[in-house]
Amino acid sequence: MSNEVSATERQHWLSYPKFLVRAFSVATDGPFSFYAWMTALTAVTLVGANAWANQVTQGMITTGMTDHVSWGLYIANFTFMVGVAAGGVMMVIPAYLYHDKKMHDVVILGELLAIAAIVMCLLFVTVDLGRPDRFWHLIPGIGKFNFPVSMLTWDVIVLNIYLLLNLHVCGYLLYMRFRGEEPNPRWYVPFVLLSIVWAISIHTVTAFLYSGLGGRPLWNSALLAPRFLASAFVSGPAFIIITMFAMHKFAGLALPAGPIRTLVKIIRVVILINLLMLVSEVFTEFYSGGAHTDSARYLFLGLHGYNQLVPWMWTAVGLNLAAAFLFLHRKAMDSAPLLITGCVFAFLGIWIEKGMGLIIPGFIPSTLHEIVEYSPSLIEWKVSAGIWAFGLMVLTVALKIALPILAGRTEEFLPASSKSAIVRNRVGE
Amino acid sequence: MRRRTLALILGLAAAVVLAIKPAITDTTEYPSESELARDAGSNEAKKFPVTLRYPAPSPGVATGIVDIHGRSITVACEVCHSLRTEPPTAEALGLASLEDFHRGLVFEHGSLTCLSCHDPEDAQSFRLADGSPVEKWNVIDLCSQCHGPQRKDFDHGAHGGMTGYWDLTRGPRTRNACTSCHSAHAPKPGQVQPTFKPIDRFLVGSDPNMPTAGEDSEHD
Amino acid sequence: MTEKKGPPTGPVESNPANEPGPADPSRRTALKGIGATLGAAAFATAISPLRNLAESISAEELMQKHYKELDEDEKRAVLNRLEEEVKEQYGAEVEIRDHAPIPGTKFAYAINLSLCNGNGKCVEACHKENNHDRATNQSYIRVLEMPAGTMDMGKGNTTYDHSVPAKDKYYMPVQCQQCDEPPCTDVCPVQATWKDDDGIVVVDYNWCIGCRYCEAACPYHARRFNWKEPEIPAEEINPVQGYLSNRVRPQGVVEKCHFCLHKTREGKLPACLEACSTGARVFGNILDPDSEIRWVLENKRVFVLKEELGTKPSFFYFFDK
Repeated sequence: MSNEVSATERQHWLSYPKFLVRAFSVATDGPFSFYAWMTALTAVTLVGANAWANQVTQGMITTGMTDHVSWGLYIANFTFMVGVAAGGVMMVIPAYLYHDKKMHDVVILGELLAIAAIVMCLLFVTVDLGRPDRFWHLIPGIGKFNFPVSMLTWDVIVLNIYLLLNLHVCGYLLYMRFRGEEPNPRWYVPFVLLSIVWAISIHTVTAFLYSGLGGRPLWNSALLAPRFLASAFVSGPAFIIITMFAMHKFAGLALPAGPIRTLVKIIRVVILINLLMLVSEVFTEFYSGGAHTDSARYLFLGLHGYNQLVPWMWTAVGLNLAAAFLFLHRKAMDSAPLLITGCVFAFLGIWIEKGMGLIIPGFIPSTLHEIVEYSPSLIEWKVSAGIWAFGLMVLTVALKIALPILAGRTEEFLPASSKSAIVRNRVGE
Repeated sequence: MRRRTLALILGLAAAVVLAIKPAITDTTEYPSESELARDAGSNEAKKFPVTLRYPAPSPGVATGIVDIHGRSITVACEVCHSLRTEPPTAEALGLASLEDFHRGLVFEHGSLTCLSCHDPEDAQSFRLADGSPVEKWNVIDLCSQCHGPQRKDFDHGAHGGMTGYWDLTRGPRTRNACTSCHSAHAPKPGQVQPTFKPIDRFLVGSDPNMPTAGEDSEHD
Repeated sequence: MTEKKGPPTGPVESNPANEPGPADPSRRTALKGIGATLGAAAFATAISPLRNLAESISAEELMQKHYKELDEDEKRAVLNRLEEEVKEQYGAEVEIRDHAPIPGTKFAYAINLSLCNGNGKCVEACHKENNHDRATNQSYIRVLEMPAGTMDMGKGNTTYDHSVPAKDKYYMPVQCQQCDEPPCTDVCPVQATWKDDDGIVVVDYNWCIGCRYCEAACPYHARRFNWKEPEIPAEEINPVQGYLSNRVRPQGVVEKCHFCLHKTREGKLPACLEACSTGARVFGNILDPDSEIRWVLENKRVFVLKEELGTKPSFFYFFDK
């Protein structure tokens, strides 16, 4: 047996490329619906890519941003997606910290979501750069990295490492399944545990980007980082639940009832915490009043007649309340429509509240108390849609590759030719 | 030997004459007190001069009439004021008398009268409050009698603006005198229309009485 | 772009993803290859506008090092290249120089709010001196018309266009405060902006990546972003330029008031001060005990904006009465 073990180990440099090829072919194979889905997403991605190329060429005057509101739809989406990426790993906590065996099988789903979300985050900041050709200035050692003073450098580090962590864990698990071997916990459990901590750090660091700015009173609050985490741990699991239902419908995956119940239990608590934090912010702003609360006033009530975001904010509040009600309903665990609706409401509500409902009002009124409102331009919508489509493509491909593991049909992931040989070489614990 | 001594004495005399002759133009070189003090006491690099834009002497009073070329006809002050044989009456000292003569002259200078600054003996000269004469171009000392705080600010470079160099060891500076900006007869600066505003993409111009375009009664 | 339909596998539930042995592998692979090629071609077409941009950015510009890491020869090469680029793009002959801070100087600025009447000549002078985009009347200075009796900028107005001064109003021009603890330099991820030895916070326009974090961080609305390529007629370009100050900036980078360092680092007064028709502005070296600015700070009751934020501005305001 030991000879076969060492022979297997020596073949890593052979089997890994094969794994990649197999993964690629699995990812690009499917029924008509799969191709239609991917084609549609590709089309939207290409529209976004073209819009971004035009934006880079003509300048960011093509967006709706100005010197008054200098961050817009891109950073709003970025902020939201960091939360989704962090929340995706939410499932990991019960699996490992509470030894929930059933969660183990679907942990990989959360991590794949995290990968897709982080890719979207990196794309959203890239398209927001005025000079993307100078991206290399950010590389430590080659460029001039303002670490540790600039929180943006912390964000660059933690996001990229988070991506690598999740790629490693998922890649390792999939690769081991491909080779027909049991994954060695030494190679993934520490990384999984690290990714739990890291998930919290990515969203805390992202919150610190905003909360550290004394000149922006709406953001300069100690509560911003906890709020971010609370909304992340609602939006991430909500999306995962939707994904599980989607895979059940389109890929024949059995619904993991246990993990779904666990997730609903988590969401039930955290969505209330999120609402409580919102109430806390609203009270602090409106009870004390004064000029530093003008942004909150703009958001909820309108300021000097400018009220473009007011209907959006109240919609977000309504969606969050409705979602909370649906999740807390005793039928939430059993009724799929109820649950899915709750997840969709929560996802949308948090997208508004944390994205447009946080970034934009931070700039209104400006630091000189001028009021300039913001609407994303068509190019911004196109680029954002393109990145969303690309993210969904990444997620689809990732889930496609991981589907056999999720479905418990790991032997189907193996290469057809060497299946029997590697099954014989299966290493037991 | 005698020729050389004579030439030397003549040269010295010429130098002395040239040195003390003041040049009365509208660009008199006249460092302010504080700058003189700095120069005197310091052993630093040489300081460049500060030029004050003193006023040119006024040709006279505009009559309001134009000649066939369209040029305004002005009358020199002495034309009328040299003919006066008796001292001006009390009414002539006040503003009412300006209605007949000095057309176009707006006089709005607090409770001052003409003779507060003008010398009654010489239409082209001024005098200080104690009656002592002051040079025609020296509006700074004239105005400073009452406007002491502004004079103090001016001496320290905080009033009147300047162009040129902040660092006088590297270059010269030109400064305004009082009448560069303030007319002596109606010194309060008038209204100006701003001619240059930023064109913001979305920040619209608004009613000057309201900070923003929208109506919001409870938050004003 | 078309992609081949999958093999006729029947309903979705029958695990179509990983059926071993597809019906017609070679045909499927060929069609996938065609699809991939078409997709790549479509992608190349989609981002084709970038090709023009790539042509306009030279390799030297792309790889240029940070200002602080350029030696004298490299700096000269960069300045020559920039002068040529301006010549080519705008048709103007300019001279761009590099200005080092004068040792022993720290600049400070003060405005007498009793004198400022909001005429905006400083705004215009900045616009002309610093080669700003003409279409937007861009300037580093914004003037707030404030009602007497309040310091609340929320009651101020920058868009006034009536004759000035208006009754019961005072006027407050705001520009970069050159803070001693600038929030903007802390947040820049690539150190493209820093506080120089003479107190001026400068930007290396060829290093800035345009993330606009500094613009978000500044409490005084001092920073401007080049949302497009600046448009200036050749005859209006100010040819006396500095690398860190008023040279024509490229699209996609952040800029701000730099106290006219191409002038002040040669001992001259900044353009806004020279244009001020009311004499409200005072500028100088705060380290010189005989300077005008020092006298103002010692003898007038000066204040700074948003002092509670701890930015320690080098820009002061005072009233006479």
